[in-house]
Amino acid sequence: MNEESYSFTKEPGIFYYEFFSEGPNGKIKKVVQFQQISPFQDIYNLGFGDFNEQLGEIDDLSVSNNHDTQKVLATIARTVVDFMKQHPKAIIMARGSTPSRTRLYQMGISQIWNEVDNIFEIKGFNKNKWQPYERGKNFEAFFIVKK
Amino acid sequence: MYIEKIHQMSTLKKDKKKSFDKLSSQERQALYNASPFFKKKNEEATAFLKKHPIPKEFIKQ
Repeated sequence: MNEESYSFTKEPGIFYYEFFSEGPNGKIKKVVQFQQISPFQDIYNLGFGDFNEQLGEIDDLSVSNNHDTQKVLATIARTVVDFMKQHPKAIIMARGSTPSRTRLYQMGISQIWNEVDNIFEIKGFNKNKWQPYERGKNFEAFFIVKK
Repeated sequence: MYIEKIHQMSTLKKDKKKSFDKLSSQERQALYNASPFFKKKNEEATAFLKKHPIPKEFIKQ
């Protein structure tokens, strides 16, 4: 993946990734979670947010303003690729907590599209149906599977 | 691991005496899973998929 990204930590058998965003607002811990949401299929929901250590809480509505959105998105995309390597049958679903967050995920997909198009199949939900992902089209949700 | 199991682990979040850095990866996972934000997102995703299931032809399993 050509985009600059942060290094992340992940242990085998664990379904989250951690990395630190670094910028004008300091070092902010980010967490990407893959949670299985279907007992019958390997469908995982992608969750992403800032970890507030004082509160012991994840906040995925926070805006860190650390001037590194592209780098953060590229890192999330890398965690998806890594997770898919370890779980080749997984279906990863991504849906932002707000429409603007969903658009951010879409930006992340667009960033890596050329590199992953031959490995992964990406579908988006638009106008009440799942359909092939297209750049420049707005979707409500996405899922990614290995080809 | 399913959401129901995760709800049982929510007590970890309240153990603020233990520094986060000292938590094992399993404890961190339980803490993240118990996060209201992630729980809400996972529940919303489950509801979304129930309403808009992924077509079988898109799933090669």
